[in-house]
Amino acid sequence: MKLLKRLLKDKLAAASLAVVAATLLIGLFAPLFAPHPPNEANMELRFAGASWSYWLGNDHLGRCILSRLIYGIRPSVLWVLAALGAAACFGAALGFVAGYFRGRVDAILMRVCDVMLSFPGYVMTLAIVGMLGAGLANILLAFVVMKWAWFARVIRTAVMQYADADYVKFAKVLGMGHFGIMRRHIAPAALPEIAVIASSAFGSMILQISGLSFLGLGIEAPHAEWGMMMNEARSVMFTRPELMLAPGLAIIAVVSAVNFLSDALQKELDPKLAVSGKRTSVFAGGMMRGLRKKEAA
Amino acid sequence: MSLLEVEHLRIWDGGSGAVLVPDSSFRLSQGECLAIVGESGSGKSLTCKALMRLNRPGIRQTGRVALNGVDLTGLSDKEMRPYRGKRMCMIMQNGMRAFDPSRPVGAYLLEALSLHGDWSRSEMVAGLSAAMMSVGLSDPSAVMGRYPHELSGGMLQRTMIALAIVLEPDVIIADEPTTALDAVTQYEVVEQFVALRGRIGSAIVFVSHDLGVVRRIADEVLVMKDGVIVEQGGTDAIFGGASHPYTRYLVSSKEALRSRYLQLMGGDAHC
Amino acid sequence: MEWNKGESLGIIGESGSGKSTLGRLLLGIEKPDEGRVTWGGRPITDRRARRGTISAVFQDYTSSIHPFYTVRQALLEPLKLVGGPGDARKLAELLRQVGLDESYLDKFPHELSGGEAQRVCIARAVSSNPQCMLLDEAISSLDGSVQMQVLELLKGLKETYGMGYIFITHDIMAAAYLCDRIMIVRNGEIEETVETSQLRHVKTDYAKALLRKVIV
Repeated sequence: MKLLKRLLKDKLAAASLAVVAATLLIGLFAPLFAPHPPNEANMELRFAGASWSYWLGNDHLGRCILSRLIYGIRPSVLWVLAALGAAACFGAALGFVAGYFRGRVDAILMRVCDVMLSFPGYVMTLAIVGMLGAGLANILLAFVVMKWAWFARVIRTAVMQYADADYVKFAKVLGMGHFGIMRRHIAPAALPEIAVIASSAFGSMILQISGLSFLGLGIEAPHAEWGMMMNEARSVMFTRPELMLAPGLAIIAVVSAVNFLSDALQKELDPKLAVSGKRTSVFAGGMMRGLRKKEAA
Repeated sequence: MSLLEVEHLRIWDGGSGAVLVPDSSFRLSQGECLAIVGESGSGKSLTCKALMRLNRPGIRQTGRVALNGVDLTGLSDKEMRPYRGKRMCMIMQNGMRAFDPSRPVGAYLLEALSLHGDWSRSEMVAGLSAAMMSVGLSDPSAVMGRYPHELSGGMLQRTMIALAIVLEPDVIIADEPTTALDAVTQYEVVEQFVALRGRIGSAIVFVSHDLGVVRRIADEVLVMKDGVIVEQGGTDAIFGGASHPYTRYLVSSKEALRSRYLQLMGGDAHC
Repeated sequence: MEWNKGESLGIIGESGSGKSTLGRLLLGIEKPDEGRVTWGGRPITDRRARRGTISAVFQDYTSSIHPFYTVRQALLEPLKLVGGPGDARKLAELLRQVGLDESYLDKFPHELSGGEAQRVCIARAVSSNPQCMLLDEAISSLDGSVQMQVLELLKGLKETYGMGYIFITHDIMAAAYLCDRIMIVRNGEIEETVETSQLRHVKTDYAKALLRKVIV
């Protein structure tokens, strides 16, 4: 909670938090917010401009763009969040085991990660989707498969640093079990760093899923998704630019907000600003400096 | 005129305004060894770094620091540079952090020498090798080729002392050089400092919290507490019968330890 | 080597002599490649057998207590594990024994000075009623006068509770002050073991050289 308060002091962070929170809420409760059903086609309203009942106008099938935008939050943002969570959990579990136990376990897990990471990300996702077929579930599966190795590796580094600390040694001397130590000592310290890593990956994953949908490998029609909306608007890009702008700006807004939020979170966990120099000097390992690199889409 | 004169040195934190050292004045004569003792937080490191104006940017200082009559506080950074290293050399506490970790120690030493003199490379290497042999590093070329993390704390300290021997500065400032070392290496490095005094005529400012080391090496002692110099005097006077209660407290605090050890060793202990 | 109940054993060595590794092996948090370490006949690497037998205080007091824990939580950790009373009275008593008072209970580790933090670590080590406390360079990072205070505290605990120590250090004077028996370690091997009272009669050349190099 102290973290939240400090975060809100930064205006940009507060604004980003508001945007992200609003987006998530609107997406969750889409039926309440969307003025019209997203798949309701009205051919007489094709390419209609903005009007009082259709705030952003209609697309090539006469569907309400605003409603599609709102329902599009679900696959573009919410499901990505779920995939992110799954990849993070799986990666964290393996990262903890590798970083804490070291030795052979660590070596084997890291070789597996090396194999996974040596495949170029986007290409692999395309390959997996190509094999399994298009569709939301397959894309998300592809994401989890590609991303868990990265999480595992980064979290392992953090865990290795904490597992070396004297307070962990003392807990071992006392006779505390391995999982007790991981749960009580290492997890609370590693959690903020996992949050920062996850948030920095969030933005790029949103872009990836939109990108794949743009290429036609994503959600099947007629479901609403931002990338797909942009694809459908390609043919009328110059005559009806607003059809592309609406989902495009939505993507920009949400990804920017996520990235600013992630930045603010990183800054907050930086030793110079947190509770006290000595306390956070335990955390200020090369880890935090290494986290400055964010993932590019 | 003394070699180094410090008058009314005042150090404070520019950000918070907290005064760290309110008013310090002391002198250092040619060839003399002045020890600054005190516990953590007494301001001894700050004072040391203030002499060379090496405190971090947030720390501000006023006062006069004169080396051979020239007031260093009035110089610009560029004018200050020839003084650092050549006229005043610093030996740091933690050797591992004093050297650039990405380059071998030799590259760093040669660069430092080339900044301060016109020797050719072979002259520099010869001078350094001789100095390193004299401080007990028996294979100078191997040591120069190693990275800082490959050398032990004691070896890094000796390397810094060797650099000081070649540079022959007017003042050597040693900031807790033995604190991070184990007991045996401490003894050896202190012996190196004692030998150093005989070899070159530099004055030494030796900062330490270990009174045993100070007793061995210093002529004059400055006792600091919370940024204030509480007592100054000759080594014998301070250890024999100091006037300030804090000094007496410091001197007597490890007395029980010493006397037990001397009793056990029956007077065979090195003193 | 052996350690007997109530004994105060000092392990002396230079840096790199392997004394810290030996400490970890004695605590059971590292497994030896050959040989065994047992406590009362049972292997010390068995976590359950280890509870309540040996405890430790380490050198780096800034990382010895979990930064998120208050002093109270740090003291309760071993008590909860061993199943002792975790009430306020017991905590206050622990702090009093090490020269602190109840006002410290809600402080965080970064708010304590070096001496105070080590005292909390000692209180924490004592709380599980161990028979032996292993101190790995526990006073090396402290200021001179604070070192003396902690040594006096350890001596006091020895006299009150019959607490045994394994005192790992490079400082021979401190070991001679606190310990009954001194073991000198060099390059991972035991060079010599001697009763403190017989310190001046060490036999090996290395030990003699080591004793000569003490700055009194």
